Amino acid sequence: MASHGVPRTSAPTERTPQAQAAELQKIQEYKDLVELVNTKIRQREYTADTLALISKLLKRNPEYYSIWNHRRLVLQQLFSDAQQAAQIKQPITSSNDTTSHPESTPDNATTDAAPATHPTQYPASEQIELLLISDLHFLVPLLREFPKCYWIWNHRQWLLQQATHLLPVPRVRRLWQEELGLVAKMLSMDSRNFHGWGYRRRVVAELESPELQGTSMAEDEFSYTTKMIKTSLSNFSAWHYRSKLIPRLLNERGASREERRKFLDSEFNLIQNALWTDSADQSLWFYHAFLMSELSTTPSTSSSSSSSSPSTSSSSAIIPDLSPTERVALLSRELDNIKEMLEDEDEDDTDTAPAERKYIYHALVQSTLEKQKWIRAVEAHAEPKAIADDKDEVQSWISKLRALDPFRMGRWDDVARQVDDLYA
Amino acid sequence: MPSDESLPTLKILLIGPSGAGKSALLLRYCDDLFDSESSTATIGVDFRLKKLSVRGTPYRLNLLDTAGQERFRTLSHSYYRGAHGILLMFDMTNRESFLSMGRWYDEAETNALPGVVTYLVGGKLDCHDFRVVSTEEGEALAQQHGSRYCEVSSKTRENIRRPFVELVHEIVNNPSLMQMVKRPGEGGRSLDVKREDPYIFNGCNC
Amino acid sequence: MDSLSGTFWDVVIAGTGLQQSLLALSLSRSGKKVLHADKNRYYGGFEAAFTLQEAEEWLNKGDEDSPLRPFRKASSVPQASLDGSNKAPKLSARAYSLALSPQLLYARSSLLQALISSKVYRQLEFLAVGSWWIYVPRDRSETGEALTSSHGELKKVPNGREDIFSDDLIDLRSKRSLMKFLKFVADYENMSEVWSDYASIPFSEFLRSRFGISMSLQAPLLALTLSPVSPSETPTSFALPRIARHLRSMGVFGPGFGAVLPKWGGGAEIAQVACRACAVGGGVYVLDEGISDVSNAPADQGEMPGQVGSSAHHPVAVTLSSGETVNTLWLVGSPDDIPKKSGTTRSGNEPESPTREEVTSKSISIVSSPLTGLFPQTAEAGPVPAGAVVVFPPETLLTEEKVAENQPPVYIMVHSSDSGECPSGQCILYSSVFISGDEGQATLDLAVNRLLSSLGEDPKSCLLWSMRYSQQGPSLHSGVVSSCEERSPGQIFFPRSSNGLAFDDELLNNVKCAYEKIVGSDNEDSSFMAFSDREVPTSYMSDEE
Repeated sequence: MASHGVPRTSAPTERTPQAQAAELQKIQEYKDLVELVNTKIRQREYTADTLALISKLLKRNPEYYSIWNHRRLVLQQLFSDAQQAAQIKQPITSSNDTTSHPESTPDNATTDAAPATHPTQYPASEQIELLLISDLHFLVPLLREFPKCYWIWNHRQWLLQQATHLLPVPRVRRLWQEELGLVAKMLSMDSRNFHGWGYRRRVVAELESPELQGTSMAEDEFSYTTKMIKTSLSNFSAWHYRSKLIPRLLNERGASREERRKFLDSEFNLIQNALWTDSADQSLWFYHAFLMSELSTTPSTSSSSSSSSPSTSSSSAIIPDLSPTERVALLSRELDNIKEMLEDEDEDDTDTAPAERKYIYHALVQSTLEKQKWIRAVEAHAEPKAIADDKDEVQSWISKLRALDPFRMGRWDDVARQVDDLYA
Repeated sequence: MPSDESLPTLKILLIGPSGAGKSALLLRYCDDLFDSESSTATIGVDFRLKKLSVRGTPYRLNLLDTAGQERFRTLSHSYYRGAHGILLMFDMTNRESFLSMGRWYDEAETNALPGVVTYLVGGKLDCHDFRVVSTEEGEALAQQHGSRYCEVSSKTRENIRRPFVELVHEIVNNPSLMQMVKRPGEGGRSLDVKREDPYIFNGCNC
Repeated sequence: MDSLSGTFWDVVIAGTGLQQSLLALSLSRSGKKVLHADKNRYYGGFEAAFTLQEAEEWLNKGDEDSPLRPFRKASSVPQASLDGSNKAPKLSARAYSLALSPQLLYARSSLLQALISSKVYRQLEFLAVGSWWIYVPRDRSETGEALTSSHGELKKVPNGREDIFSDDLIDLRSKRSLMKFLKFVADYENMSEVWSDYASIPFSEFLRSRFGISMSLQAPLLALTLSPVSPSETPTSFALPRIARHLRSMGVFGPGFGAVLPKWGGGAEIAQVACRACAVGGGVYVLDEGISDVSNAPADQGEMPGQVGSSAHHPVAVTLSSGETVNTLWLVGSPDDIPKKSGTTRSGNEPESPTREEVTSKSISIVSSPLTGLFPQTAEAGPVPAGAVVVFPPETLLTEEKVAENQPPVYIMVHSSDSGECPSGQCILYSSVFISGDEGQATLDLAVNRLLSSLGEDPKSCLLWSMRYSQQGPSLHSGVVSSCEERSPGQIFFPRSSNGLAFDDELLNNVKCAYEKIVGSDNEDSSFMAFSDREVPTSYMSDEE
């Protein structure tokens, strides 16, 4: 709305006959190019020239997926050309030096067991690397222009897989490392690019893999999500990635119970800070719900009255052995924090948007229900008066939710039933 | 083979008094055309592009003409920004044209980057009979300013490529100049204002 | 010298200031015969950018007597370095490009849109203006020092939601209040019920009573308005559109910033590039050629062959300072470039300006260090900015003998060497305050000193050179909108450029106003500044050595 309200400069509306003719000519050129590429492929002309034609075509239309297949065919031919040429050039009587210098020649007599692409011998690796790098470079402006085109990302991954097969480990690592830099750049331009985030996770997995002699990057990636969140709070992918990294991170740190408790508190601080800044942002409530779910796994001493409880998740990833008492304390603290957000506001406050209040009431209802379950787990006989107070409050929140979002009546009925069951 | 747009681009300016034959030189060099009738600068052309390979490395030349702003010596500072090379051109059949070159050198040296490559060109080599500037004079002036010198005729094509080739040669052999050669997309710290960022920063998520 | 009088001009533009140059650009594809002249030897008028040498020449020229000259009391102060020696360091004069009216350009501004649609942006480079800083005196109760102490520090102004989130000094409740305000301002046009009662009331009062935003948090919001006057004189109706402009521009060209500056001196560079575009389109340029007289052209010049319809008036005869007289249908310029038309009935009176004009004191200082701390990266993987804005809220510059009433703030725009305006290792401070005369200059000196000492650089940064001047321009906050004005047939006057710190969209409206008078307003809207790229003749034949 506000950010999009300014009209962009208008394109020329009326098109001259010349412009139309030029447009038609462009279309014809494109058709000719498609025809030419298809002919070359039919004739198995898998050459550098054909590759250049394909590049030209893909620049105009990167969504044309079968052309990407053609491109891979041609590249594979060029790779094997390079390998063959290298073998012809190299005298059979080359040195026995079998170190992984790219210049070194495989001694065919002694490497029968090794397949041609065995990762320690690279007769043509330099040339293949050049081909791969130039293809990777070819994709960059395309990605910039069409960041959401699946085929470009797909082809990129294929190129890097080829690198893994055909090049020595240090070089492959370098390529993947550069890839991480590229993804960071792409994400800095469009931090919510979903493809970009998924791709980042694959790149990281590759760099961590034993094949590339990698080690865990969980710490770095965790800091990266912090930076990206500070750049844009609404970055759902960053919050999501963060939640996925936490269990690994804590395990790799070998975190003690106390450290885990501190960690949980600092994450709650972070999200409270964020929610106080902007409680209308759904991404933040997602992460808040994630942290709350860490507190609200189903009590092990099963309570008969909570039969309708949907939660059956496994033990908390952040603190595996939270006691019911701790849970109640933490849930109460969070409840108070959220309640405070509503404190200064009167009933028909127009400053807080309806969507925002909906998130708040919903979180309040959910947290109270969880808290009540754990209270019941702590003491068989909870203070009846406290429970009754809670109940009135919860019911008032539910009626607010009904008013704010009448389209989800069924959902609110459901929640109301849960409340009735719980306080029965 | 990289496409033309991705070639390193060298910015080359032409300066010199009106009527020296700057536009004719460009037209002949780029399009191999010569129009003996046309005496005014082409209107509507901001710059010309030409691909030139030196020692097997291709470069894209971005050639800028004065757009008539030399007439009253009103070229702006901004015309000189980022230039790697400057061709200074005069008319060998016009003594005044030659005598003005000192001031053109001054202007180039004042406005261009230190280290910019300059090259002096005497035009209208075909008009032998009307020639009023000797080769020695041209060479002396060029030497005085650390430039090379050559004489060309856009009409007969004589020497037409030489100033460009030699100028580019000298540019690409100068590491500090080549440091500022940009490829498209490498804006340094400058921003791409055409491409609007999808990134929305303010508090409004609407 | 070639003769100019042999041509009957469609338009003579006097002065190469930004408005005139943009007009030239807008006419560059119109087919109109344009003669563009400037009385100065340089481009840019009040928006000019100077090398050190040019700046010294300009300062020495001294135009103090003329009431129409906007710059007064100019002086330069070369300063000795602080290492004890009295020898001023030698500065390479050519390495500087000092802008007389440095202005920042918001991403969402019609000027930037016009630079893009007219394609001249390709000849320009834009750099990010990153952080806004506020000078905060150190807590006196802590240090026991007087208010006048020069100790203080710079605090970053939150630029939006993420900055508020990351700022540990703001408590949670205030974060919520601030965000409520920011969300409101993003859509303030549609929420007049929230602010219409406060429109003419001081903005700070609005923030306090409507959003519960405390004094300490008001300063950053006031800084974003770039208001030239004190908070008590800055009404809500002035502040809201300016804060909205700031916020709406955020992130448009990259994360964490919303304003840019054109490299090499801002408006000066835009003016030069616009003039070249007009020259490429056939416009003729003359510098060092003012206009000494204007009159009606002789009657026999009235009907020029080939002149069609757009004007019903007589041509204008314009006498240039060289003595040559040229005839033109239109003469366009500011009152500083065009003398009062002689021989008209309206003689004797000063041309009345529709706008209130006022004087701003300015200074330009070259600093001996890059002040890198002022230019943090705008965001993760965002650009390194070349510009920063430092704001001194009024109360921070009070001297003991002075009363607080209506003291205006001081703004210092800091440009790093990336701006192309100084050599690397240095930076430029462009300071301004809406106080005239010696008092204004003293206030600026104080602010510059405090800025440098607050940064605590080691060795301490010092001023290598500085110049002072004052500029008269239309009032920014009076609310009177000026536009182009046809004072007599065929003569179009632009108002002077404003003293604002950001390019005002009004400027482009003035240009459009003149453009429409010249080409006729029946033209389609889109033809104003909307050009396709000029065809670039490309030789594809590779030239092998």
